[in-house]
Amino acid sequence: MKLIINELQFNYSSEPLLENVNLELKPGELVSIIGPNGAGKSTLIKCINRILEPEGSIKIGEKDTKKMSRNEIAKHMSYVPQSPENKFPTTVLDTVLMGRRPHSSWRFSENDINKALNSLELMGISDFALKDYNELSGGQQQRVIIARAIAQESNIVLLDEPTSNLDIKHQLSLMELLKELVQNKGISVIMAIHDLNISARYSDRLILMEKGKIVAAGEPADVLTEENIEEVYGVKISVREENGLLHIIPLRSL
Amino acid sequence: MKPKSLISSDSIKKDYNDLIGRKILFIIALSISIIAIIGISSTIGVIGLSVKEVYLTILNVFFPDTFVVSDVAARVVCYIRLPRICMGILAGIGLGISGAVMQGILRNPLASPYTLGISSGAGFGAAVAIVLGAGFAGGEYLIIGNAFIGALICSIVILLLSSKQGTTTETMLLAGIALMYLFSASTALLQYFADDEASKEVTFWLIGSLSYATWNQIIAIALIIVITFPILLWKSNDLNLIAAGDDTAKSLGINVKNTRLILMILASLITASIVCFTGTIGFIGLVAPHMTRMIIGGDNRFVFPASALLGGLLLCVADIFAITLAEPTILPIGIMTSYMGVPLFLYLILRRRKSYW
Amino acid sequence: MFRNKILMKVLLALLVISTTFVLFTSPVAAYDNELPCDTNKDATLTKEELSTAICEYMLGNETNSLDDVGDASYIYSFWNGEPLTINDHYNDREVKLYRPVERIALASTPSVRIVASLNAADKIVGVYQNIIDDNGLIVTKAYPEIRNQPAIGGGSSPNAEAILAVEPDVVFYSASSNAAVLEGNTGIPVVALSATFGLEFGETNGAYNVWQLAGQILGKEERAQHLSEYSQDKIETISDISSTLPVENVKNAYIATGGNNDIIKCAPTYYSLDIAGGNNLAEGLPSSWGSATVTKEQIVLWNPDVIFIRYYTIGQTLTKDTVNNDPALAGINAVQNSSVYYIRGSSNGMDPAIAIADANRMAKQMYPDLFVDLDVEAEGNSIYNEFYNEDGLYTQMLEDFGVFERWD
Repeated sequence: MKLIINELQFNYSSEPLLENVNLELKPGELVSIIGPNGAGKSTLIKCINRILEPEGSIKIGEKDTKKMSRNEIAKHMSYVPQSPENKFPTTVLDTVLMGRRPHSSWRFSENDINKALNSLELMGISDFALKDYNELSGGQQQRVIIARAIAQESNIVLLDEPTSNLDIKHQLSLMELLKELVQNKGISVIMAIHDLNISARYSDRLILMEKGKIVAAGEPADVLTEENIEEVYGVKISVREENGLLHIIPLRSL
Repeated sequence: MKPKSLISSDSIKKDYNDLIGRKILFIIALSISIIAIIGISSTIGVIGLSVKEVYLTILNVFFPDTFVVSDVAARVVCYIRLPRICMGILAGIGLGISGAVMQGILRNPLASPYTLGISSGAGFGAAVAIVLGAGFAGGEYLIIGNAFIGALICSIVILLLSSKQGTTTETMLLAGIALMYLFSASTALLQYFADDEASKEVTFWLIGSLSYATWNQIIAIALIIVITFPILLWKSNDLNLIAAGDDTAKSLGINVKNTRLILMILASLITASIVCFTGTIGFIGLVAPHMTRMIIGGDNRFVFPASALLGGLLLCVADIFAITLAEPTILPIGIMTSYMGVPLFLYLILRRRKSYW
Repeated sequence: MFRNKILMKVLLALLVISTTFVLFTSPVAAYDNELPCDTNKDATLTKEELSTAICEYMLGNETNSLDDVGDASYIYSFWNGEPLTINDHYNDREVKLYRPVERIALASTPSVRIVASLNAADKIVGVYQNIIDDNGLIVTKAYPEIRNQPAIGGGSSPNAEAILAVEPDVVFYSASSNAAVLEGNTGIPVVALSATFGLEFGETNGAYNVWQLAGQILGKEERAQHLSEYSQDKIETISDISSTLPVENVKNAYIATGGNNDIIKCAPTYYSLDIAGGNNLAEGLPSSWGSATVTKEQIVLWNPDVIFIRYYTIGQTLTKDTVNNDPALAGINAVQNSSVYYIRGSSNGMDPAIAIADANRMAKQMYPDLFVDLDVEAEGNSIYNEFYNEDGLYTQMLEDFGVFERWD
């Protein structure tokens, strides 16, 4: 289903954190939001999911999310937070089962448990299923949360800096997995990300933000220009293309 | 990418069900222990009734006029021992569950009816009634009514604070602690200027006691628990998601604000209805949920009932010691629970192998 | 899964059982208080009912015991054949007695003085733990056997079951809201008696009221009346003299709470001092448990002519030396003129006997010229004897403590 964001505006203590954001996401598309710290990437992700209540409209297909219940939104969109925590001792399987909450009630059915187990296997963490979530490493926790998002079976997945806790191998395998989901299941993904190389490598489109506004959007090669980066990040870079892949080499801070 | 797991899904499922089975078993074990404790506790008292006499008296309540029961036995068992035991169990159940709820909604191990100031609010209400004779209800409900309102006022302030945008759970807890000090200070001030009889009564009220339990009070508390418990249990799964953070819970379809509000109101209601009858019994609401989580983990669907039952069990066992240790003097139950609970709690904290919170 | 379902069912069953337990146990048939031999149970004993009961008993009919018949005769002749209805000292709460009182349980410390001074100590069958433990009570010096009675609890709550075990006809309790619940649980009349100390005897719920109420319950109205008249007489003997003092000669007095408290704790109301004709400097200060806290600076400013230190525990830390050696207080009149004295004072509620005896002592110490003929020790012995039926109690007290001034 298509996600259409129109004239999105979000203020915090009358400071605009997001201004006039327009965005469209087609099914089967992986879009990355990039931009320096404080550009409003995380805020945008939270607004899309209505964790924060913005002005403007967000439509899933034809339906405005303002008119949808939280549970209904949760069936369409899942969210992977930046630093997932859990205050209580919870098993990994229970954590993943949380993703079934929008589809089930108090009790989880056999079907829910099967789906949770499948997504654990997909993320390669079945061995931890009955371990305490809090005893896992940061990277493992991140994968559990992504498994939860998969178990949620939504067609839009929002991720906030999903790679920040992962080593290079797991970063790459996560991105490959997301790519696979997008291609095979028609899921669309929006993620906020810092790593320009990774975002360039896997994204269908990039959105460059600065001070709550979108300053550039489009194919990675069109957005990741030396001028754009210099203006928004204040750093000198050099962009090279090798084997059809974009490489951003940071040179110096301005 | 996909390293094939060494463990099959079926074996995980089996282990997972075993895990749940163990949790249910723990709850069943607690229930049976409570029933056993009722059985033991009802035979304990300064009047030496035989075990048989006590049980015949209890049976006679269910099947009137079937057994020969002495007047003294009937009076002692039905008006002195059973009200005390039932009040103890219900108060423990209520404090155990409201502690678990409050720790859950505030995501903080320090939250309890006591640290949130609710008990102190009740104490202040009671002190106003005792010292100034002013209150919302008259007659025998003067003190009880005031204590109840005092407890509710405190929770309302905390709720109002929590509905303010951007209030963190830590702020709520800090506000609760601040309120606790405010109410305690006000109670002390009232006591300071009260005549000695009134002052003494306030002191005794604050210490907490099960000695003045009556069947009407017990039915009132039982009704409140029977009505609120299913709602709490129904919301317990949502609270599990809130434990993973407000953002996560919202993204999974939970109306965090409403859930928190409903749970806080219900927990306050339970607490208020208990402390207004028993006075301050502080420790149970803090430790029962912790002990439960150490034993069966943090899934609130199981923590709620288990913590409730554990609270009831702890309070009832503490009461046995309270009435027997210095017989015939009854030691204050609030003091007894702390003396028993603190060493047990410290032992559990020190010996646990992994972090449970 | 299957096993878990069974477990859940077990749990549910347990839940239902326990809930019904609470809801079913409660509606137990309440105990009805009834008058003995009241055949038609209308809470009035008629002449016919009584005579029938007596005849039946004499004919060997076992329906009523000798006790019942005896009680019934008492109720018929003294209570007009009706339950005795009184209003006690907790908000005038109504209490009904259905039997003449032969067995008394004391659930508060001050009540032991009241009962003993009404000459009913022999009816005490159970006592508050404190009565057994307190070595300072004059009354148990006269009636040591009271301390051998079974305890019925201590601290904040009397033990309802222990009260039942001693089978009392009435329980005397402090003026507390819990009196009603205790009565409901035990089924025995519980009477809240005031014991506010420092109060004038004649005030509402003061000593005269307390004696009158307890006297009515114990059938000792005459004794209560006599005690009141005796006390009034003793009080007037002193106040008649002290009240003639011209205002400029009235001594300014400071009453230190004493015990292990610091000198800055004082008593704002002190009936003994009023009787003795002293001006209480702390009068009107807000107090807690009968005691107010001031600063030493305030004491210096007041400059009391006399300081009375309540000495109610042997070996207490506040002594005359503490005051006399305090550099901050060196300049005040009381210290300069060596007018720092001990008085006994009551603890655990007010002891009227001590209050009157102390009034004598204070009068003599403040105004020796006016009370030349007053023999404090002889008077003390006679007052204690009147209240507690034992001679030499005052002398014994003076010897036990060894600190009070003795004039010979």
